[in-house]
Amino acid sequence: MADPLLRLSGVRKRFQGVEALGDIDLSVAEGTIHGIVGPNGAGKTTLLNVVSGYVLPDSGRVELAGRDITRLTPQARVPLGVVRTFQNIRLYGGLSVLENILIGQHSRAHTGLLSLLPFRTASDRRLREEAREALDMFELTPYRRRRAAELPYGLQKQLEMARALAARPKVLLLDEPAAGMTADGRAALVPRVRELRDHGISVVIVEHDMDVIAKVCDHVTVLNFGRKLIEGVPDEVLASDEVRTAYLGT
Amino acid sequence: MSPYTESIVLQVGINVLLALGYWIAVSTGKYSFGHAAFMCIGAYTASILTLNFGWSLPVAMLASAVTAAAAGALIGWMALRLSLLYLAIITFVFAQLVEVLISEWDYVGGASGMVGMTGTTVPLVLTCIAIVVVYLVLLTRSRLGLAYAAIREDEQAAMASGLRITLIAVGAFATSAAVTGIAGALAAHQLMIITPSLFGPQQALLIILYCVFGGVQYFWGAALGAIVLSLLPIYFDWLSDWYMIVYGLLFVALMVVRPQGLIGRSRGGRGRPLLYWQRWVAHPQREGETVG
Amino acid sequence: MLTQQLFNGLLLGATFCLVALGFNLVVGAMDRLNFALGETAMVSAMIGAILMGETGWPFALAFPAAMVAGGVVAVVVYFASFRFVPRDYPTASILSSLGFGLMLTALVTKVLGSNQRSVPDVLPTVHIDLGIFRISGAQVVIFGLAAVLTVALYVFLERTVWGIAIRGVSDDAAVTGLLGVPVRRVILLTFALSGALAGAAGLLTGLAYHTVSPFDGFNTTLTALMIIVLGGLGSVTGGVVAALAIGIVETLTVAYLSATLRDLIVFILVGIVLLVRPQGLFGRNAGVLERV
Repeated sequence: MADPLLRLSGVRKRFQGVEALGDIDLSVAEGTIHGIVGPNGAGKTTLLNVVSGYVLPDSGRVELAGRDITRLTPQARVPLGVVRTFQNIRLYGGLSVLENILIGQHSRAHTGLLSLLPFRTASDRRLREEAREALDMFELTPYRRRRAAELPYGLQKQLEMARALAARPKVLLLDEPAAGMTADGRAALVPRVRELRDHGISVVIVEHDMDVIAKVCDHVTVLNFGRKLIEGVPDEVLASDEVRTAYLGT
Repeated sequence: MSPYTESIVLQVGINVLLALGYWIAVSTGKYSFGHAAFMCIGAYTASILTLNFGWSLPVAMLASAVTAAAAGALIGWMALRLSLLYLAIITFVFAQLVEVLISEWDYVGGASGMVGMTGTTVPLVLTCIAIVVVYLVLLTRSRLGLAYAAIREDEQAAMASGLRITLIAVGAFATSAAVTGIAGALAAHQLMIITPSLFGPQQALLIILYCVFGGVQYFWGAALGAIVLSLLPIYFDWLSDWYMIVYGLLFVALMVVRPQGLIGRSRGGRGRPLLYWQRWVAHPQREGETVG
Repeated sequence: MLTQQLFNGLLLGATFCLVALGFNLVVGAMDRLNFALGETAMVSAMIGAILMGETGWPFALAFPAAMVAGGVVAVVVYFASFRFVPRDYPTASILSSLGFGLMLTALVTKVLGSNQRSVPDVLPTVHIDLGIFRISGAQVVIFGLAAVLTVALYVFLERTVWGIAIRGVSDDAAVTGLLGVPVRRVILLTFALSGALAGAAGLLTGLAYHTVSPFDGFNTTLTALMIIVLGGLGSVTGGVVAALAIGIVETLTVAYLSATLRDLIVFILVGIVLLVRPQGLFGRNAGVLERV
């Protein structure tokens, strides 16, 4: 079997005496959509933070295509292909929609003193064209000059994803993408995530909405109390006794 | 131009430079509490070079920019990786450190300072302003300027977008220090005498006021504010007597009414609702990592 | 001789301690710095000196008066610089307090003149000779009061309802508010308390040096800031330990090296701490992330 794209081995994390993650081993195969679910407090967010670099594990490794990235800063992981979204949307509120996407491209653009030149280089023109296409794809074109903070919630979530994709990730970490969305929004999410996979982007979704998980994931890991409870194909996992007990307590 | 008018134009020009210089750091969201230190470093560097080594002022000013930028990079690197509280303290203390060091340094006259520097002319000041303005126009249209804005808006998100925060923020801070240093050099050669006490906390506050009053959203807003504030004491004589008191109160009032300054948007524009108290812990270093 | 110096150092540290605690209280309550605290101490000290000197009040009355004055000034600063400043500009209140402090100095200088005022000695006839060091009457008073106030603060924070409320707000204002604690009033109390401590420190320092000056504010603020960095922002224990440590370091430097090196050595010490362990000796592990 080919090396997994993303691998966590023996990852542990304690926060002031509380074990958030206990000896987690996880593999995400390339070109798959991998879901991470679990009741509140199970450690999903911490796991995402460890993979994206916002939290350093007490022990264990995070590997991307065989390369150890455990101690890299979040910004160092972006050019390597690890990009995340935020559950409670962190857009650059005072900046325009287009600017948000342009900043998403930061790791792929000339952003040093070179960028001060008063004319656009060919590569920058290409990037701006890409940004325009991204606006189109996420139905944001009419809003491109509006401040991100003024957008309705659903469109903000679109922008959040568009901005993350602008970095051309190899693995995209989605932090509760369905949170707060209407039924329509959630329905639209499924084909969008599938499309990502079709374009060669591996996806890790942390989600509460089992419906979305069931429809879109190739593989699911269930966490409980910071440890892996069960993992496998969505249909089996979500119907299993362990999961029912964990969520319903009976 | 009469000497009187000329001296006014020079003062206003130097204050505009101070405002623009400070604005560069503010555009990344970082507020220094001791920027007068960079003014001091620039002033003394240039004065030493013109008085003791016979350099011409424009060349000496380049050296001022370099020394001030170096100091800015050093302090920026120490302070910008920590929270805003630490930035305030470190820059504040640094300013005092500079003052103490210079007061003890006989070569530059210690507490009595240096005298006899001349050379600041209107064309020179206007040229400097023009150069800085051109830089700022290019900056605000560039991806680097966009990066500054991203860091100002949300540093954690900026990390997720791949921005190398420390590098960018320190670069901005050093540039800001350089411009402030140049302003200091010009001031020294206009006042003809400098002492370390000129660059104390009052001056630091004035620099901040010159910048913030006009508005932090647009650099030209900051410049306009600096112009207005510089001219006020000239047209209202009594102000010079009550200068610090009035401007101190003005500052306090400004922070309540419009902390972002007069010109520009009315709100910060963060998308999410604020908690009752916004907690600013030492960031953006991460859980489990000691800063450094 | 050494023991005498050590004692003097502890004494100095004890006076620093109170202001540092004042700063830490505000850091805990609002995650902000009250840059006007040094000037608050100065105003209280001036009032105390005037009451003792011109109005002939005994120390026993002037001291509590100074504490009350400090509390009042701090509350004014709270309303001017902290209460109404928009929350989405975190540096705004800190900057505002800086402006307020500078304005206070200018105001006092204008109203009372820029001269130093002498502080009459207290218990001039009392001398305790312990062989290894001697304690004058004034020193007994200073040390005693500083110790009593520090201990009282500890007890207050640990044992009384309001003290626990203060700690609650310091820990997590949002949750504490939800539990029914009147957060704003607690913060007001915190400011008053910090001001009272500063007032006490101001007069005690004046007693130690026999003078108070309108320009003391800046030095007080500076020293206090360095103490809280060393001890850890927000840590009461850290503030006490660091204050004593810096008091000893300063006294020993002046006694055995030179007066000019005094400030420099403390700066270097703080600089090292910032590079090696920025959260200070007792700082909360600067690792709790802003929740993403």
